[in-house]
Amino acid sequence: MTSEYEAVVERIERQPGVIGAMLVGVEDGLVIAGAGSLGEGWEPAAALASSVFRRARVASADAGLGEAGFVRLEADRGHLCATSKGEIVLVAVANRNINLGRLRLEMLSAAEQI
Amino acid sequence: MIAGAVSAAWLDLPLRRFVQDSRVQRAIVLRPDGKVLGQFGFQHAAEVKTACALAAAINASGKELGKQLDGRPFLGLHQGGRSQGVFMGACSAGGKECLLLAAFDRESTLGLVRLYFGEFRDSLGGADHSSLPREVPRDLESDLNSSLDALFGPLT
Repeated sequence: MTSEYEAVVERIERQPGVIGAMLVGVEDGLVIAGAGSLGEGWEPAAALASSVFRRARVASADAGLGEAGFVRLEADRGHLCATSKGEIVLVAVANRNINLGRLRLEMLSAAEQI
Repeated sequence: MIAGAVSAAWLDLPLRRFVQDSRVQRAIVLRPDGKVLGQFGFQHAAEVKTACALAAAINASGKELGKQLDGRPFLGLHQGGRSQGVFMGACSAGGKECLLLAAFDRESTLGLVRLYFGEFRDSLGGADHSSLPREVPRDLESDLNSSLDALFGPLT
């Protein structure tokens, strides 16, 4: 149900400091649902975020650390956070003012909704 | 480093960048009639010849199917497998239609290939196509053979 997917991304997008949230297919890197103000940046962000998550997952496994449950990329102007449930990645793009601890908990909880 | 060759200088950098960024295993740029303009990842001319002939046929079928279903030709194609996928997209160089056919495995995704295909298409639009050879219409096999000769040398 598309509406269930949209409920998940809208829950994350409501967090203060979140610019956009989306659900992305791990295998194809395509957007399943999105909320926020990424404009035309949805598809590139989805493709790159799923790629980052896949590679982080492989790196984590290769390093003997087990499965990567949560990935955070820190950049000059904000953060990109990702977690997965099955073959779907939940991605949030946030500004520098985000409460990362709270966002992480919300994302892990929201991913369980999928 | 993936082995590759192009028949025109304007194609070299965009194609090389597409292959490196999208992490596809193989890529071919061709005209809709099957004439190859450049390739990366193929080792033998015969493989390129087969891929070009199939891509041209798939493109012709897809275009016609799109016209019949929606009145407009399809602009792209993706076929996903368990471990490999194929993507084909249309672009334009010097006002002439080109096709890019790419094969990728789990190192890449359709999303990444589409993303970097967009950049490839844009870079072709802004490239200097003054080295585009003047094309004399011939049959498919002659076109294929001459372009393969240019990329791989004459088949022995």
